[in-house]
Amino acid sequence: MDTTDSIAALVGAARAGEGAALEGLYRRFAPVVHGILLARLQPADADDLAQDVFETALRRLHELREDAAFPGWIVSIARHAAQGAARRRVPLTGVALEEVADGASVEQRVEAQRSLEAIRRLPEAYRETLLLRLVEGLTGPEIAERTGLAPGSVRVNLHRGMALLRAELAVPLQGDAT
Amino acid sequence: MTPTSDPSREDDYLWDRSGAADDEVARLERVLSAHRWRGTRPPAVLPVPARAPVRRTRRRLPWALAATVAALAFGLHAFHEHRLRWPAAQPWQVAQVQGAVRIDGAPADARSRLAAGSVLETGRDASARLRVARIGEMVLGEGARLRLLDTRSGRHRTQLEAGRMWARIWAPPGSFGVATPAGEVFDLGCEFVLEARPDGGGALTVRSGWVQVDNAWREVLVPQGARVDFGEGGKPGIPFDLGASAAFRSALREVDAQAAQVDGEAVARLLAHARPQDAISLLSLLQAHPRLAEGPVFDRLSAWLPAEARVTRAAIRADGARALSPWWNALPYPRIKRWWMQWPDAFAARADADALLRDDAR
Repeated sequence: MDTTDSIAALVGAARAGEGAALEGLYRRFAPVVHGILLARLQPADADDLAQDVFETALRRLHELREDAAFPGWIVSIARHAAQGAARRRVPLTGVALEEVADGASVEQRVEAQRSLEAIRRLPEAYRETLLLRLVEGLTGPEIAERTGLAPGSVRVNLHRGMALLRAELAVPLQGDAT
Repeated sequence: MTPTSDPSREDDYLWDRSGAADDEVARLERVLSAHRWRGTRPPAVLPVPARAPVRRTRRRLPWALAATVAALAFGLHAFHEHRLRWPAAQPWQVAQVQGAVRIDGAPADARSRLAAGSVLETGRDASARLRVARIGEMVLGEGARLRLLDTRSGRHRTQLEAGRMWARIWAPPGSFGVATPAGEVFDLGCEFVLEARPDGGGALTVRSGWVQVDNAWREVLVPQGARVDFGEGGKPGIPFDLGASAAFRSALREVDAQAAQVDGEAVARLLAHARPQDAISLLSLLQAHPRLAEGPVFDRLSAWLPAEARVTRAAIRADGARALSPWWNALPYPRIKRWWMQWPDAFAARADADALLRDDAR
């Protein structure tokens, strides 16, 4: 498991231009950036923008004063980018076919979309945490470490968000006949 | 509404996947994994600058940054405007010739210019490279005959009567057009190779962005990594991904020719050899023959394209090919409106003429 120290060490090495450190940061934080974008944007646009956000963050790495503050810093860059993209309203790009689960039936796709929309209707505090857990597959401790949130807050957000989501999903789908 | 309960040991699976699996959480993990981040490579990043000194410059930094950004934005805007501006009828510069190249019958060299109304011809084993105003460049292969019809800001039109052309354009869609015996070919912000034969036959292969073909038969949109062939008389086929199998392409031609059979043997063969990358062909088929939506071609596209890009048979019956727009928007290619994202096309190509004129993917 990652530790705050190891993240700070990675950031320090990335500042020194070490390719492996940049890759390490990308591997750990790209899913976080993607999950945060997904909380506010359509999947196609989140996919497209995630790479841009990461590129911006790495280019602005010299502005970060404390290496250990990287998680909260990149999360705020991602939120800011998502707000900007949402204001533009026009979708940024198409959806890559390979990025949609191959072999999934139409029903599974509709179900995925419905679940995603249900999460998006939740209060903001729960939305991001649930997306990082259920879509990006991070555990609670990983979410805490990679967003800079306290583990207790993440656990409460997951618990309460999941309770709200269960209630949302219990409401039958309306007017969806093809 | 906010739940009042607090996390407990029952939430262990939700917290760190320990403890007994929660069926609903596990189901959501499975279903939503389709939207998971799948990027594998970090972006190409410039070397990270060393930590900036913050004490004395902290107050000035925002102003300095703002001034730098403003200067950069102004410079880029001025450069962009300059690229797109072109005095009416100003000749195009020939950049390079190889072998026998003539303009209006007179030998041409790398200092020659092609004026509106003039014809450039290349002989056997010859080639010519030209600047397309300031918006791009083109290369003509052997045995080509090109006429410059019109050139001015926002509108540059040529006529390729025969031969093979490579062009790379970085400008708003429709700025550059080529008339061929097969029809009109419009650049939508891209790089492409076009072959024209006097009988109307030929082919168009797109390497980046999109190209639109308009002629008496149909309008065809060809994205990067795809190709469309023109038959005798210029009738365009259905575009196909360059990686499509020969069996798929053969079935595609057959289905296009006999589109009345919605669920025939050719359609079955087509779908048997189709890959997700062939969605462009299936969608182009529906665009050309909306009746095919009554059969399995529609089902295959429904399964491949995202659920949020909602297209129904009822909508196609009512509105024809216009109802397919959500699927076109969901295809995995650059958006035409974002032509400027193809910025590498703004730079001159370094490859030689033979490599540029090759009729395959880069």
